[in-house]
Amino acid sequence: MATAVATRAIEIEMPEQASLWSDAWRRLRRNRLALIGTIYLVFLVAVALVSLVWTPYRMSAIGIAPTYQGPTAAHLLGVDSLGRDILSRLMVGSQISLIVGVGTQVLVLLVGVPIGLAAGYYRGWFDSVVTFVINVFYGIPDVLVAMIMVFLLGPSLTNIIIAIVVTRWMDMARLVRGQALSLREREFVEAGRAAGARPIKMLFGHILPNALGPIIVQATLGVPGAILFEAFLSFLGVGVQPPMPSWGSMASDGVRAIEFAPHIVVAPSIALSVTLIAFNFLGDGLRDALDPRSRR
Amino acid sequence: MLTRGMAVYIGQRVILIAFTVLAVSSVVFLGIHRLPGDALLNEKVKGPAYLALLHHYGLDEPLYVQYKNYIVGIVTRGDLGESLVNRGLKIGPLVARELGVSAEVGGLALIFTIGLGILLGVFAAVRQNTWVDYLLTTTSVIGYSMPNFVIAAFLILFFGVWLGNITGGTFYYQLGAWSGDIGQVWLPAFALGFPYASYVARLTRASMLEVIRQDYIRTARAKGLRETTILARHALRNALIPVTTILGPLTIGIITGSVVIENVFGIPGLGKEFAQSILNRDYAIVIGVFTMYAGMVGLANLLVDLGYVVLDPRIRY
Amino acid sequence: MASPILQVRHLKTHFPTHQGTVRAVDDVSFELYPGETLGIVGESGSGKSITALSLLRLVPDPGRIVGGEIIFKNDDIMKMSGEDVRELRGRDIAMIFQDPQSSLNPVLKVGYQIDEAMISHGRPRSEARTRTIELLKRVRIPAAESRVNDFPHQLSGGMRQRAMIAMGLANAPQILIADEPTTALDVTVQAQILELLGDLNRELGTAIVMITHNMGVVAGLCTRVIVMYAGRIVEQGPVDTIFENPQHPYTWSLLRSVPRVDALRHDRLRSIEGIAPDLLRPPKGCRFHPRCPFRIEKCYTDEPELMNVAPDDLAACWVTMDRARKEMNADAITDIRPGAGSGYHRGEVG
Repeated sequence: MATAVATRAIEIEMPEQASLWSDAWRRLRRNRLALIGTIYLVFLVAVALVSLVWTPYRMSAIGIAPTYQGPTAAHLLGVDSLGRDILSRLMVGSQISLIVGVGTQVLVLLVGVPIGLAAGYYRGWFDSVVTFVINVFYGIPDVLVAMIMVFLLGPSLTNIIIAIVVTRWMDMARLVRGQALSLREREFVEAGRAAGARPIKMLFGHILPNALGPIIVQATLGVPGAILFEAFLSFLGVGVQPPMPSWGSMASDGVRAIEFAPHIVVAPSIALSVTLIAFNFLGDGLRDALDPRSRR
Repeated sequence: MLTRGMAVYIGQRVILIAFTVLAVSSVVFLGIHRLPGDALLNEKVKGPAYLALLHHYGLDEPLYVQYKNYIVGIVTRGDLGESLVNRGLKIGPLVARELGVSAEVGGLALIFTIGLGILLGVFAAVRQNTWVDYLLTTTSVIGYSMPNFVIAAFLILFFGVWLGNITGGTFYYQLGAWSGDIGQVWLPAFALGFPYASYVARLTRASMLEVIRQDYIRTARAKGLRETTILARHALRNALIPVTTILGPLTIGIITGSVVIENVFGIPGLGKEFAQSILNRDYAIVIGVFTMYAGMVGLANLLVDLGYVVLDPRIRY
Repeated sequence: MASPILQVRHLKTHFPTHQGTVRAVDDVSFELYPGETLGIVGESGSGKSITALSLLRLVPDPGRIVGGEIIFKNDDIMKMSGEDVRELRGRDIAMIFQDPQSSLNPVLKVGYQIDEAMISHGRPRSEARTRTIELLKRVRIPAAESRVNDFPHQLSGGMRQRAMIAMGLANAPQILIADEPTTALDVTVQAQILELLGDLNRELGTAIVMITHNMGVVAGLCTRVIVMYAGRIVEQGPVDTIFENPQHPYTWSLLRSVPRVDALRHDRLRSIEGIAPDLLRPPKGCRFHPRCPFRIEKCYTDEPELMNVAPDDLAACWVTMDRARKEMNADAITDIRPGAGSGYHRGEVG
């Protein structure tokens, strides 16, 4: 016979609820490679800031030691083909890499995100135009066009940044467009529209926040791409002009003297490589942390 | 497989490529010619000699006429004009010769990239979570993070300088004089392709890992197929589909990367010509080489799209 | 009765995880006779699919078969070399899966995939192709000659599943294991596939092990049935016997909860209250006791083994439905709530 007793509630232990961001942060912290990368990048920023006010020697000072001399106590990384202290130049070079790396991505975000959002969300003729333009831009050899641009406009840092943004904005735009396209089909978008939300609010209040993860990853991974791009340009002589010490142009100097003064190429090469690796580790870590599908 | 839809698609792509090449080359053409007229001519000539020079190069015509003549020249005669710096040097044959050299290095780099990259990627996927895998995953990030000239510099340091020193000169990589034989090509090809090989390895590994978890692989096992057959026949084809996506940008990367690598190794190819001509202000060559490049890039993209269709039968246009 | 072609004894398949070991299959034993149709029924998480996969040693990582024997015609599959198991798969024992869309390789032609089932076991290529077309006809796929060159995405869901069946039967195996082959299909197509399987079983004499959560499927196709819950078998016997007079409360509840077309409008849908048990830490005593309407004191402490509770009917229960009907007025129960029949709730005022 049935008894009138309240059935005991089944006690289930629910795991602690976590939002996407706190969960991502937790996973990122556990990623050793990303952590190492971040530590290095913090160090790099510190070096760049310090070099704004102080370097061991003036970076443009010529002939302060015998040319091509290797590392000594006075010049820890040696001296280049014009007798300039490599360590000082390396420090100043970090400013250039960081400015170009971050600057290009800021612009790419400002340009690519709105275009991508509008194209993916509204579709129609605007999307067709944007897609066509993106495809055209993907058909151009980026480094070559940038070389020509910088050479025509003049080799200033600003022009380099502009050239890189012009040739690489499509990566962000295409990503954001893809995000907008898939997000607009989700139920919360339908719900928002049914509730009468205005399109701008939909775009920036609903779609953009959900696309933020991939956008952040793309921007983080775009930095090393831009730094590499600038290094290429400077290496070929169409980038930052002397006496400004881009790591790329320092490496280029070094290659010319590689047989008898290898130390000149080694310092900027390592600086570039480590910086790029650090950004890539960080970007990968972010991507793994923000991807709800990945295991662990 | 060559359906009407496919033909239409190829047609569309060819038009897009032609449009892109024309658009980009015209923009470059315009940009360069916007510079003060005599920036185009380095020599300090005055008077009638100057006018004669202008006329010789057709620079006295209105801009759009110049451009029209240029395009017509390319399409009908394959004539890319004449060097501004070296009078009488025809660009067409120059470009053709240098293209051969670049293609040799670039082609080798491409084969190396794709071949080695895929092999290592598959290997790492099959040996997931072993030390081999961890080693490969970390090295691959390092590999594609390093600029190709850094790789080149270290290769030269190792093979050219250090090895030469310790073996008393018997093993020595000859810098400088380019003889074009295979011995000289593999080092630059390696430097050019290595970053991309690393990226391909990483992508292949991730893709293979996903594919191996799929239901159809379980079906293949349940049928009693050998593990190698499953990997090669069932898994690989599916895993390579995402890899094909990056083949386009990869080829472009090798093409643009060759500009730097040829510079480093002193290879008389298209890339070196391009960089040099910009610095020499020989704009005729710049435009000619650039147009060539734009065309190659477009072609590469088209071939990749077609490759996609071959790999994945679900894609039909 | 002929001797069984498959004997499973004390099979245990566990999955080690960060939080502990999930005991997906925990001591399962049964037999399969030549040419018969055996149904394995249970809810999600009952262990039925893993049991099926274990038979061919196809358990996915990190799962491991940690104990037991699987004896096929005098050979223990567990003791075979990897190469021998591979030979066995697809030739003597074949398996087909739930979702034919994801279970067929999208980049390979359907005909090729069926051919290779035969080629990998030694048949020459030309012979294989002829037989493939024959098989496709056998499974009633129209225009078989042209269908062989189609890709899976060009076929409808029902045709894909038929193609999978053809692939499974390619080498005339003695056992065909079907893991929920109809779940991903439309209801009308389901019926066709089941009919096809029944016909093939009769024509070819292939024994079929049908894994499903749908009692109706079992009723339509199978002669014997095994009911699984929380990784163990709770009842086992001929379909007619079990369905007519289920002895285990879980089986009884399952049958009771099947919605009936002829039910009155105001009859409520019945479901078994509670959720599927946690296989990391299964309930002590009888695993069904937290949800069982007829539980008694002993159910909380002692885990029952399979016992002969009626001729031909093995059930793992201390109470059994016969007793529940006599003492607890089981048939009058409308809600399948824990303790509804026995009134037993440990530690509470009764």
